[in-house]
Amino acid sequence: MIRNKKRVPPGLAAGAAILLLFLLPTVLVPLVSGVDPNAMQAGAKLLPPAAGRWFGTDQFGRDIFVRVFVGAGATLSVAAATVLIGAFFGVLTGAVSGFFGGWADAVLMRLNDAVTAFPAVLLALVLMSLFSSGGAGRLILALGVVFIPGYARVTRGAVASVSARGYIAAARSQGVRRGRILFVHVLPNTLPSLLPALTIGFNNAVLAEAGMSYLGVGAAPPDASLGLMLSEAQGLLFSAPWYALIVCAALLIPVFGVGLIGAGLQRMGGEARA
Amino acid sequence: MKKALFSFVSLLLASALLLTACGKGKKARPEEARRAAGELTVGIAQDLDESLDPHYAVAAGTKEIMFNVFEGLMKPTPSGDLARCLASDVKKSEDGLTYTFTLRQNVAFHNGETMEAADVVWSIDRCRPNDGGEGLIPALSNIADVTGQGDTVTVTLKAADNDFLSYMTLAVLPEGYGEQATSPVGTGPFRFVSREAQHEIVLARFDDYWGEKPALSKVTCRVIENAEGLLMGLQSGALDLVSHLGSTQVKQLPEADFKIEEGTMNLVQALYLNNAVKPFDDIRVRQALCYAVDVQKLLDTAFDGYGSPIGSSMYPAFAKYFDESLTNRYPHDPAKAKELLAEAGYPDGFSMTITVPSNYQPHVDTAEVLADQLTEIGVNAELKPVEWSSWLSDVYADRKFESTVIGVDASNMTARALLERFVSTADDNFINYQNADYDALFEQATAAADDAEQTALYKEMEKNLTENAANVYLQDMADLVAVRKGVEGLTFYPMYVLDLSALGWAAAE
Repeated sequence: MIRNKKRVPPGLAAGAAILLLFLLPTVLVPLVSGVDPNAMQAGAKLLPPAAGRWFGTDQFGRDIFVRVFVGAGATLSVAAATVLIGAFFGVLTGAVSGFFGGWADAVLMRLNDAVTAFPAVLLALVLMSLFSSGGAGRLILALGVVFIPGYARVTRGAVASVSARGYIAAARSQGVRRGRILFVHVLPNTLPSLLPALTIGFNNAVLAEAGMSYLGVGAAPPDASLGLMLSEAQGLLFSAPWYALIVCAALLIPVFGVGLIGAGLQRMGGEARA
Repeated sequence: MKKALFSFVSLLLASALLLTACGKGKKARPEEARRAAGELTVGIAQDLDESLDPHYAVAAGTKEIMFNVFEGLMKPTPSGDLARCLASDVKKSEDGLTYTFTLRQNVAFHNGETMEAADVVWSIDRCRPNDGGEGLIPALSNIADVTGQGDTVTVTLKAADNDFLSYMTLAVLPEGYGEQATSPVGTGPFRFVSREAQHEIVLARFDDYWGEKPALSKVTCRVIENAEGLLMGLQSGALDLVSHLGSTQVKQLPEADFKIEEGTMNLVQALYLNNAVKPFDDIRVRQALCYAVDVQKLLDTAFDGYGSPIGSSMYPAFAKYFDESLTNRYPHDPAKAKELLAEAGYPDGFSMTITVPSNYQPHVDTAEVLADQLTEIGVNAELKPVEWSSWLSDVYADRKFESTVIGVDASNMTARALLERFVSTADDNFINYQNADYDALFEQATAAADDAEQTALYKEMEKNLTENAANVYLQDMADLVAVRKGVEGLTFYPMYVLDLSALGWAAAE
């Protein structure tokens, strides 16, 4: 069977659509609703969803509809920033150690192993306690560091395999500088394996941010954050079950969308290589 | 494949059968069986201390339950006074230095021995800082000598102390009994039966109790560490009584089966301000915050209207010392608050942090509502949740904080326990309150000869705290207790105890 290599897998398109449909209100609702996500109303506590307050109100009478999207925005941007930091340093380390090998590889990868040896949540908690203040920046930094080793390992493998190919040897034989070979010939060709890793990492970062906030070490109240809202909703499971369901959905939908994109990218990458 | 399908279907059938069986067995409800036997099961949110020895117990939750097993010469009453307990009579000498206790006759310990003067002397000696004692109660260093003879025990003090009798609530234990930690023995209305760590502790009625015997024959305290579990226990019939619930939690219980009783936590909940740091070193700023906060609205928003507003470091259950007029010293008045801020040089407000212990949800909720209210006067308050251990070390011990929401309790039933901490030199003056008038008042109060004079001075001290807006006083939080219908006699004390001897099932209709 002959396949068109350019065709976009249906999963990827569906994932992108889901993500877009979720991002749209996440960006727009806080801008156009005109409702302060932190405004409390003593007389309107734990009201069920209805017209005008589509997702109901929480234990302080705040509008869950607005808070869910504000919270999702906070969670997703922290996740994105985390991935950016983790990927930047991870790819750099992985590329250097995969391309140059030898003692640089040995040192960097042992460092990498050392960081991986700590359980991720524990490491993030320790890092958080090292920085005494800084709000979201502190969380991004802590989670970013935790994510570096994963990217480093994936990149190192991909770089090593690409470097072994004939055209790299050809470039070397022509005397192209090693830095140029790495950045122009090697790294772009590792994208098929890097992109899916980025999407998986993004999803892990979303869950990690929510987890940290759920544990009370991430976002600080009264700021809306999905993890924080989930821990509030847990205590109200019997009196306001919709609260927990809505927050869970808001957490799962983007993760599902990005997951589909990742799977699609992986298939495309696989076909491209085949 | 076929085999897998078969086993799946049989599993479904089996579970369906099991479900119907459960439905049929529902007739014999566990709470009805307990009612018939005069037994009660109480749900508690944390396990008791590892050691049940009353002289070593630290956690409030341990004292709360073991209050029923141990007694002292004196005993706290629900109104906040002290009543004679193991002492049938107390005489105080003219100079206030000698107390003579006449012991009650025929008081039995749970192990069958009879209480004697030697047991009382041994128990007091064990707690006071002297050669043989272990110094468990520092205030007892004021004792010069304790002697016992026949049915009297005489205590001689180094200096007169009006609060002395409150320390004599310490548990009287049989002399030399070595297994208090695992198999405690006292003289109380209930005796210890068994304990399984992290699971339950069982008490039973002591049939040789000297006083009125309790109605309940057996009480089981079951440890369930999360609120949802406690609620489900109540609804399933596994539990009859749970204290310290939140307002959103009690709302989830069916009204037909449960009564909600409202007591107070006996805590002074406030936005405690570090008086030594800017801008809280300025009285006008502190007063502005007091005017900006709307306590009633706070109670409505975060506590469903439960809770008693307070205006100083004293809670209402301490009726003798509580001054109601201080509660409304700072009515909600944002305009006045802004005026004061402008005078202090902050016309546009300022930014501050509120450190909160992240494991105490009511305090976090309170801080969240306060932050919302303070935006009205331009003050931007940011919450900083910290672990309980870092709260204790950073805020309480090292005083590195701007403001914090917390509840402060009294370690014993004296006004001093609440007020002494704000004396300039007090070790536990974590808000760095420095006020010469206050210090002088405290000195006069401790030296006061009679009780009425002392009470008046303590009230002056409370007023001093209010007038200087030492803290933004909020409330004594409601202690909501869910009690199964049919259980009667729940009594609230101005301290953290659950009096099981007063509880019982009403006669069945």
